[in-house]
Amino acid sequence: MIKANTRATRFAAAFAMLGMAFAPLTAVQAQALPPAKDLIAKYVAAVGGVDAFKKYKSVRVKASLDIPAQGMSGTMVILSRLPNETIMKIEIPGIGEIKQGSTGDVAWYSNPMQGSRVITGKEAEAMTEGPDPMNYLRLSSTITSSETIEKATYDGKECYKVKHTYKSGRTTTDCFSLTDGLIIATVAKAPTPMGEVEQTTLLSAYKDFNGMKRPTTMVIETQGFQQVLTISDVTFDDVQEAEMTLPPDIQAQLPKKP
Amino acid sequence: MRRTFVSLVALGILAGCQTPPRAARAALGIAPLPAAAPIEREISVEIAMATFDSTWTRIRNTYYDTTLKGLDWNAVRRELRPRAERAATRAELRAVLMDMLNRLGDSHMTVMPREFTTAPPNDSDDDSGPGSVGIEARIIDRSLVVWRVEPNGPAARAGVRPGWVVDAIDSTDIDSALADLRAIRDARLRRTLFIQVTARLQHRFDGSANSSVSAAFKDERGKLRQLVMTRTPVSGTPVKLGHMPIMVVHASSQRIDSATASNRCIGVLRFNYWLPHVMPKLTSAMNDFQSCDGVVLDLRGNVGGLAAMLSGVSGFLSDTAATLAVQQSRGQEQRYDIFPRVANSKGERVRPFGGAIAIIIDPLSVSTTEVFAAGMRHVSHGRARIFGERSAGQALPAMIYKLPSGDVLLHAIADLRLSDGTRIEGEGVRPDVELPLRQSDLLAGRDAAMDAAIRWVADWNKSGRR
Repeated sequence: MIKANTRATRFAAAFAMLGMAFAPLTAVQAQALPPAKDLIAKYVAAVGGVDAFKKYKSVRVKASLDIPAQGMSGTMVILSRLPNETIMKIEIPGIGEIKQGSTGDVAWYSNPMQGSRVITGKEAEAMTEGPDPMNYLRLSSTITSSETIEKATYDGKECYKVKHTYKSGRTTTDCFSLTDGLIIATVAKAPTPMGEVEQTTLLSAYKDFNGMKRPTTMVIETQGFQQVLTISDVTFDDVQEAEMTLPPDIQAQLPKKP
Repeated sequence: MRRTFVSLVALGILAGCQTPPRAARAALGIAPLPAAAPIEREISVEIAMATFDSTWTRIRNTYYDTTLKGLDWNAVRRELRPRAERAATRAELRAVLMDMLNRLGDSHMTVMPREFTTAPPNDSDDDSGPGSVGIEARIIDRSLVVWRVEPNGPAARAGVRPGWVVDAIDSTDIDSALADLRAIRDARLRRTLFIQVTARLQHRFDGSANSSVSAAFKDERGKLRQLVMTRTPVSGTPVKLGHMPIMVVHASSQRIDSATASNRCIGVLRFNYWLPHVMPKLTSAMNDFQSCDGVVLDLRGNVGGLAAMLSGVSGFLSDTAATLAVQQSRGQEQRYDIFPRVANSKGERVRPFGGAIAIIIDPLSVSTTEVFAAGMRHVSHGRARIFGERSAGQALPAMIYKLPSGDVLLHAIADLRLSDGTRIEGEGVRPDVELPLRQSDLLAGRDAAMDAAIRWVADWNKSGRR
C-alpha cells in the first residue's frame, strides 16, 4: 500500500504552526538565553507589527505544493475570515480535491479517498487556531507558557529554540533567527485523522504583503519526506462570505437546529 | 517512441522477492547477472554510486525497524558498493540494489525502472494508449489458464473461453516459465514469485492499443488453437500518480435481484486498485445496494493502492469508527480507522450498509486489499466473511522516492498489524471458506468462490441477522 503523504491535515498543521505563540520564559537554563517574550517582540516587529495584522478581515493565500520524491504536485488555496473561519483546498492530479476547514465552531475535512467528516479534538483545535493573526504573531491567549530552551541551527542558520505549551497540553517549538528575528523552523506533532505525526517545517523567503512579512517557502519534513509549499500570492479582504459556506455533506452531519 | 504500460505487480512492486536463486530469476524472465562488466557503460560511475548511496541512506533513515532487522547496514554497504561501482548498465545496478533491499525480507521493497514510471511525452508518436485483448489469466496447477474474458473484447470475438490453457504468448514459452516457478521450494518466495510470474505472463497480453499479439491456446477438447488478436483500448481509466507507473483502473458493479420473496438483492462490486478513481462507482453502487441483503466485494487480483482509501471504503460498510489496522513507523503510531459515511455529496443523510459482507480474495489480492479483508472480518463480528484463496501476504505501508538514475525506489516505512496484533505481512489472509480456482469450473462456466459468497449472503439474511 502506498502512503500518499498528501493528507490535508498535514499541510493545515504546517499553517497552524505558523500561528503558534510562545509564553513566559522559565527555567534556569534560560539565564544565558534571551527571554521568549523578547524573541517574540523582535519577531512581531520583524513581520510588520501588531497593527499591520489588525488591518484586514480576510486573507486569500495561493500556493503550489510539491512532493519531489514522489513526483506529485498540486495547487493550494487557503481562505480565512477573522476571527476563525478557514477553508483550505488542495488539488492534486491523480488524487483529486482535498478540502478542510473550520467555522470556529465546526471543523471538517473532505477528500476523495476518505469521504467527509466533522472532526473534533486536537485536530479541530489546530484548525480553529490557524486564521487568528495573533497566532501568527505568537501572541495568542491559547498558549499558556513559552520557554527559550537552546540555541540551534536549521538549514545552516542559527536560531533560538522556544518551546510552547498550549491550554490543551500540546507543545510545539519555534526557532527564531539570530540575525533578523524571523521564525525559520517549527517542530510540532501535527494532529491527523490517523493520529499525531511529528513534523519539522523550515520557513524561508519571507516577503512583504501589505506591510506584513510572511514566509513564502515552507519545507515540511515528515518521516523523512519533504513537502514544499510555495506561496505565490496573498491578498486581503477579498474573501466573500459565500466562499466559506460549509459543503452540503458536512452540513448534513451537523445536529439539526431546534 | 513506444509507450510502455505495465501492471504494478509485473514491476515487482509487491515483491519481497529474494530473486538471487537461478530458478527465480528464470521464472521472472530476468537475465542472469553477467560475470564481468560489459565494455560499454549505460550509466556513469557517478550516477551509479549516487543511486546506490541514495538507496542505502534512504533505507537507513526511514525503515521502520531501526535495527534494520539486526543487519550490519554499514557492512552491507561495504559489501555491495563495489558491485554498484562496477555496474555498467541500469539492470546490473538494479540487481545490486535489489540484493540490498532483499536482505530485509520485506515486501514493498523494489526498484521500478524509469521506463515504466515516466509519463509518455505529449508529443509521443504513439498516442494510442494502453490496449488489451480482454483476457485475465491465472496459474492453476501447472498451467496458465484463461480466467476471465471481457465480453465483446478481442479475445471473446476470437472465441477464447474461460478455462482454456494458454500455451504460448508471442514467443514466450509458458511451460518453461511455470516449470522454473515450480522448482522453487521456499513457500514464501514461491508465493511472491507466483504473483510476479502471473503478472508478467498476463502482461504479455497487454500493450499499446492497435498492436497485435499472437497466442496459442488449448481449448476444452485439448485442441491447439493459434490466434492473432489486435489489442483494443482498455476499458478502464489510465491513472498516473506521481512517479508511479500508469495504472489502468477498473471498477464495476452488478446488482443480482433475488427470485425469492425472502431475499431482496445482492450487490457485487469489483475494483482493481485502491485509488480515488473508484470512489464514484463505489458511491453509486452502495447507494443502489442499500436495500440489498448483502454485498460481495470481489477483490481477486486487486493489487492495492493508497492506504488512505481503507478508511473511506470501509466507511460505506460500517457505522462504527473501529480501527482496521495500526501502522508503526519510527517513533510514530498511526491508525487506519473506519470513517462511517453518514452523508452524501448532495447533503443528504445516509447510513452505511448494514447487511452481510462477503469478500473474495486470491493470491493476487495484495497489500491494501489484504488489510481491508482481514480488518473488516476482525471488526465486523461475523458480518464479514472471506472466500477464495489465501492472499499474497504483502502488506506494509510504503513510500516512493526518485533515485538519481531515474529509477524509482519503493520502500516500506512502517510495520502494520490488525488491531488485535495480527500481522499480515509474510502470512497472507486465509479465507473462511477456501475455494481454489479450478479449470473444470471455468470450463463449466462456474465461479465457485462467487457462488459460495452469494449463497452465504442469502443464508445470512434468512437467519435474520440483518
